[in-house]
Amino acid sequence: MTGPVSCFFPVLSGSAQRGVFGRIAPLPKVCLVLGFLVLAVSFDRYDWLGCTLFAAVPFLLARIGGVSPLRLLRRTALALPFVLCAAAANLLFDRELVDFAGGATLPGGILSFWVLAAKTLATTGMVLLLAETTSATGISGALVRLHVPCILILQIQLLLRYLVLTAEEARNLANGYFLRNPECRIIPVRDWGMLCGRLFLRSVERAEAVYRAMQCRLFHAGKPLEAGEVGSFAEWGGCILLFGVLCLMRGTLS
Amino acid sequence: MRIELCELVLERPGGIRAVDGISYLFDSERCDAVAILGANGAGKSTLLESIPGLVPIRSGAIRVDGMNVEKRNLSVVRSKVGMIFQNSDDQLFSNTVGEDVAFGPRNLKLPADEVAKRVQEALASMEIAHLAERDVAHLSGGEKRRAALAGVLAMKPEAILLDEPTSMLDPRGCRELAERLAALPALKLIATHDLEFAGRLCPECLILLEGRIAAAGETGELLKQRELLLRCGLA
Ligand SMILES: Nc1ncnc2c1ncn2[C@@H]1O[C@H](COP(=O)(O)OP(=O)(O)OP(=O)(O)O)[C@@H](O)[C@H]1O
Ligand SMILES: [Mg+2]
Repeated sequence: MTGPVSCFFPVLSGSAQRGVFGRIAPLPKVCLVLGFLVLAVSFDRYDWLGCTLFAAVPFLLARIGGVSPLRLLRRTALALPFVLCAAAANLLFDRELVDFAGGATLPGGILSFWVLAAKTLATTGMVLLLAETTSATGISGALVRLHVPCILILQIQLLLRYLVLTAEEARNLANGYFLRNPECRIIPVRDWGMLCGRLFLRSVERAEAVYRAMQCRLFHAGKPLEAGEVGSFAEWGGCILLFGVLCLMRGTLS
Repeated sequence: MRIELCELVLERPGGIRAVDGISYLFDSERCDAVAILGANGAGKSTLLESIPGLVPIRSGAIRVDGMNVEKRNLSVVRSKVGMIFQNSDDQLFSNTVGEDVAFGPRNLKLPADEVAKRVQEALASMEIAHLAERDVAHLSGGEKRRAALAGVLAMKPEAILLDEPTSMLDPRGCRELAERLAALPALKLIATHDLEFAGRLCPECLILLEGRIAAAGETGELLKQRELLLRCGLA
């Protein structure tokens, strides 16, 4: 899988599992990421400074952990349009002036827009960093340890696989379309219905085929999932220390 | 290992009768590599897929080592019988090749060191040990095929069903695959159009025509019958 679609689903494309981050056991990492997510979303809607600093954290960690921050940023940025479309309404409706910095004021809409973008970067970036440095089995093992219901974990696993397949099929369909329509740059709206319908059918068909192949190798949905390793004292120590620093940042920045 | 088909009828969605009353006994003591030949749409894939219980049986029965293929026996049947699909993309779904090969042994509930050992062995036997860390989506067609095979070999099945195993391989790849398969101590059922491959590897063959057995017997003998091959879309 190549191109922009693959950027969005790093979980099942090449994993940088050998860097510092990749070597930490999944459980402490998953806990750290969950803690980070809670802290990141807890900022007030005008807390632009704290959110901005939090948005930088995943990329800083990526740099330390041997994952390319630029690549992570590109992948993360793919989530931005969806969120920003939703946040655009704030720009129009929230015009109240809010204290910005050193007595300067800005319309609340702009600040909350900025905060939302920063929160998206922070949360998506962190989750993608986790996915990039941890195997799917590792993540599911850690979730089992955290007593997340197996059915939910299974849903997440299958959904991820389904998303990847859909992305692959979308690329194949688009390739097929553009190759036989060389003049075309953007697919005209009249063809969207047909292509979306086809995409749905094909991805369902392929998902079924993949599921059958999984069954052949003795996968079945009702089976309890295996718990992953707990992680060493040092790994927990490192993650707790980092979480402490994040809590401190959160406390002082609001 | 014995796989027995008794008056087997299989239908595809839409009521298409893909296999129409086939009876046959595959017995590894008699012959451990059997080719299933037939034109496009003859029912080869449907037949193979029915053995691990992926296609519902309309009527008749399939027995694997005397055990009926039915819901309550499926996990035993699937731990005995491995399947390589026509499209390797459907078969590889983990992050990396190594992880994908480990998927089956993990489901067999083997201890971690045994899983690791089996993965190593399977990758080495397919000569793809160097691809262990590679993303499964970033392999060539032939490499995907080998990775899929390694994933099945790691489960040490007693029978392996291969659907068009040579379709992505170059001539050398085909030759090497034939050599590797010949050395495997398992019953091999191979659906293919590749008559040369079938002739090289399989002493026994089954020719399907529109879901029925058109001929069965010694591969060398059958492949000489030009009339038969023409009638079955193989020449
Ligand atoms: N998913 C499906 N839904 C409906 N009909 C199907 C499906 N798959 C196969 N068939 C039909 O079942 C019949 C047997 O198909 P099958 O795939 O078993 O043939 P095959 O011998 O493997 O062919 P090929 O050499 O092209 O792979 C064909 O008539 C085909 O159209
Ligand atoms: Mg077929």
